[in-house]
Amino acid sequence: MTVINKLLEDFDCDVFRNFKDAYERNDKNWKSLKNTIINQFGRLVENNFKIGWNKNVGLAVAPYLFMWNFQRFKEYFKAKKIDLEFYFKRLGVFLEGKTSEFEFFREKKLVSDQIDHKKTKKLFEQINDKLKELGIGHNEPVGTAKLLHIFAPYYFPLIDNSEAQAVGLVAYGEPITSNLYLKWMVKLKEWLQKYHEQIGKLEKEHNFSILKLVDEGLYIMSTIKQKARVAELGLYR
Amino acid sequence: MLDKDQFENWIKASHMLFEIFEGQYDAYPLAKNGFKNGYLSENLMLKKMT
Repeated sequence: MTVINKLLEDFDCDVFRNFKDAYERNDKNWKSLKNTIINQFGRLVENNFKIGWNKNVGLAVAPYLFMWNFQRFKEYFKAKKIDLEFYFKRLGVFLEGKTSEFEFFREKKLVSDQIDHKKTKKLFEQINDKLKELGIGHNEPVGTAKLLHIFAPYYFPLIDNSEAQAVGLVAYGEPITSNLYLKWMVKLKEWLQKYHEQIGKLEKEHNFSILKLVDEGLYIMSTIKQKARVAELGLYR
Repeated sequence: MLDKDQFENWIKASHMLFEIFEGQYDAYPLAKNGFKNGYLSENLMLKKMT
């Protein structure tokens, strides 16, 4: 079994089930929805993830974007039939066209380099527009931040709606715009600079950028339903 | 505001929790490695689990 197959097998969709949503609350609907999504992603993996066969960068980011942004993909499947293979291959073509921009930012660190407001805003909006076009016509700031981050992990921070709300960046239901993302970059940079002595050590120790490590902390504290993970302690199994 | 030691402990503790409860679903290292080393051809996702 490959790493990607194992990831897919272990992926627990139920953690992302929204019981406030009437459609998802229905057991039959939920089972059907999650099976459809996972089966289609499984086919994407089976058809494309072969050694030396496909170098489309959209496929390289597919497991990450799919699993880390499952809430959005769930909505795509609920709204219409979406072809994941088409989605990620088209995304790959777009991303390859942005290689020079990613390389420019990949050399930079948020903590020590200037924030390039103009270039960041432009790139954020271009990625958001592409995800909007490939998705269901909605803005995709969370997916945009994930893509920006994976191509320049020391410069672009991650953020999702729950985290944005918890840190005070947005009010409940307020979308993360390019300007708010820039505001987040400014605030995070200012905050992290207080801990500059610890950052190098932590990054070296964990082999991740401080931006990823901070996101893990925010994710644990504000995003994932940790209650759903209690079962994994195995107390009643 | 966390002091410097608290910040370090927060990062370490969060990372440990994340690794235990989210790590098995975490495709981040695959994407990170895939981009760094030349997309899918050398991506970790192609290696067999041991």
